[in-house]
Amino acid sequence: MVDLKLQVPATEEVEVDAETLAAIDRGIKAADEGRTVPFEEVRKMIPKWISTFESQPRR
Amino acid sequence: MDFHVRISAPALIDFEDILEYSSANFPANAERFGYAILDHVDLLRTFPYMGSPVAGRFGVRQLIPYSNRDLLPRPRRPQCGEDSPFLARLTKRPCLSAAVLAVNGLRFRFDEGDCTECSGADSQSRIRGVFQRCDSTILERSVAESVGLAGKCATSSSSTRGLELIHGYLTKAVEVLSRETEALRRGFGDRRARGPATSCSLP
Repeated sequence: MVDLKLQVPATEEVEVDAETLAAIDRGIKAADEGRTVPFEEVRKMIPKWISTFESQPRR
Repeated sequence: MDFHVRISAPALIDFEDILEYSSANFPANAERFGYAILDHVDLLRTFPYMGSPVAGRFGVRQLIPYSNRDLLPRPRRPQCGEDSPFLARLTKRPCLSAAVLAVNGLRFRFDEGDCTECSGADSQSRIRGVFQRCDSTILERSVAESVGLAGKCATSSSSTRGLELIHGYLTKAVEVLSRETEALRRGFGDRRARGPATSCSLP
């Protein structure tokens, strides 16, 4: 069973792996450079993405 | 005061990849899954300090929408009279235990007066009302994102702050439930009717 770490208080720091840290750094760098998208725009992208995925041949 | 939430370009690419995988493997749920993730992130507008701080990255917090059943195995349904592992870990907040149990599809019952520590009487009555009004499937799906994190608060010793957050989560859950219930009344209104997809290119 997956450990959901419910015993860890919400205020306690969590350790993440190096790959996740690298992804965080990429996200922060992008945000610092202004490469971000408003949340509302992302919500509007979902149906378009799904339509595109559905029209693609199954891999 | 609401904050603005922006998605970084790498995160957007990751999100699209995740949805592509979900669409290929869970085509019936991919769109709902995508919205569920965004709904979870959307809570940051109101609760920017939600989540756990990430070690080594000051100011960064981790949110885990772990309640999504597409990603995680469902816990074993307990036998009559047997507490689930979730309940065992949340005994300090019985009212939350009931909520979390409901989220996990284990039990759809809200025990009035179970919790003598919480001051969230208003939340209790609201949630109880929702329990009575809504189909259990809707309840599972909708409350999951909002109440899932309440489990963490329940284990925190900072009860005042925790209760504030929990109250917020439950309030948000009620809002989500109300909205989805209304959508169902309209005959499972197509989610795509939320608005036409607009083109949006990354800078």
